[in-house]
Amino acid sequence: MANAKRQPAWKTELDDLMRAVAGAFLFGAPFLYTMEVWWKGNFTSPPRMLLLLGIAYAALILLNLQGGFRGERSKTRMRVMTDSLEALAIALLSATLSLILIGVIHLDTGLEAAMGRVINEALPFSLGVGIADNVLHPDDDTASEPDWQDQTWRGTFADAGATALGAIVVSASIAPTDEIPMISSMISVPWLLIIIAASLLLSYLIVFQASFGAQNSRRSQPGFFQSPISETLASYLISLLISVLMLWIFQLVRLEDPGVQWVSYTVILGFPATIGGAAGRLAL
Amino acid sequence: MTNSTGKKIGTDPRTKAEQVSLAIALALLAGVIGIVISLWLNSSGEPARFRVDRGLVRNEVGVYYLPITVTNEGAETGAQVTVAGKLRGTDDLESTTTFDFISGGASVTGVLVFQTEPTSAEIRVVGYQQP
Repeated sequence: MANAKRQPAWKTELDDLMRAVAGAFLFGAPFLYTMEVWWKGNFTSPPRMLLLLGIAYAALILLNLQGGFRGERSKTRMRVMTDSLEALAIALLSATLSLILIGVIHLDTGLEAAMGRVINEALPFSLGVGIADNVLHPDDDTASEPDWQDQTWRGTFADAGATALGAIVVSASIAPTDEIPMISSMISVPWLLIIIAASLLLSYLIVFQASFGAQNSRRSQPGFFQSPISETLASYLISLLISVLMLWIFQLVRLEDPGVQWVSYTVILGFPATIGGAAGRLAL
Repeated sequence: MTNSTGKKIGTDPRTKAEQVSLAIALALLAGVIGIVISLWLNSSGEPARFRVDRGLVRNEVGVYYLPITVTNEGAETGAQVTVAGKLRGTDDLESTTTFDFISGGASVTGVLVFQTEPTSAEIRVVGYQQP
């Protein structure tokens, strides 16, 4: 009996936390692939770091008054303050893990530089956590579906199109920049497998685990995209295809370049592109 | 209870799960703030000061690759840190490399390339910018 009562509370909390992480990456991914943000972290003084943390916390309090990352909205002043503290911690943790993932923080990075980079990145990540629920959580019962989505192949086509459009929006803005070759130079080939795993996990989290979007109605649609695992895999493949197309269009990869460069650049750009693709499906 | 948009408003006492996640979050924040304050208090404000350590020379078909590790032993960050290696007794046989940023306490690695065996080469930081 006690377990029966406890289980939903843990599951609700896990869902809330996953929603927060997904929101952080949705908003923070473009900043993650901006080297100037890392560089400024190299010479951000500790007092400035504290100021940034204070600004992030103040912004989170404002966002938590009307939204936040929890399915159940905070009401009391204490709840708003503690939820904002949690949101800041989630943003800092997400920023740290993602900077490690793309090789911007490693063992040789000085502590002050590492903290500067994390705290600079944590500001946009915090905003993402703060808007996680109210911006990306349309109610199931208000989501209207066009009639043509009743047909399986059309539903699948619509999801694939939304994924591709979302991936294009994100990857087209990142592909021409120097961040992709730079990140590629900072990580080893085996590390790409970890980036692939993280991309798949985030894509899954954003659309399914985090309860974003009109999930119930999405699952009631026919189509290949309506199974969580197949949707995650298919959307990742589409995001990779868009990534490699963008890299080729912007001449980051050419036919004569070695295969390892193609693979490395594509996987690295595929990480934010997948997040964009997931966001695209939410907007559908 | 729901608000005007039909969304549930949390008025119940904090659940055990929420208490655990809040405790972990507070511990993480305390750690981050503690580290930042510690960095602030222990900041000497020393200008950047560099140490160059050599690795083992690698010979690839007559070209010598000398790995180097540059450590900033000061507190301030150095930008565009340029390291040059010059063979003793020569004026023009020199190899250089530039690092974008080396933060206080951080180490970076690079490689100098020579056409002649560089074990006795003089290697030093020849300049940097203050960001």
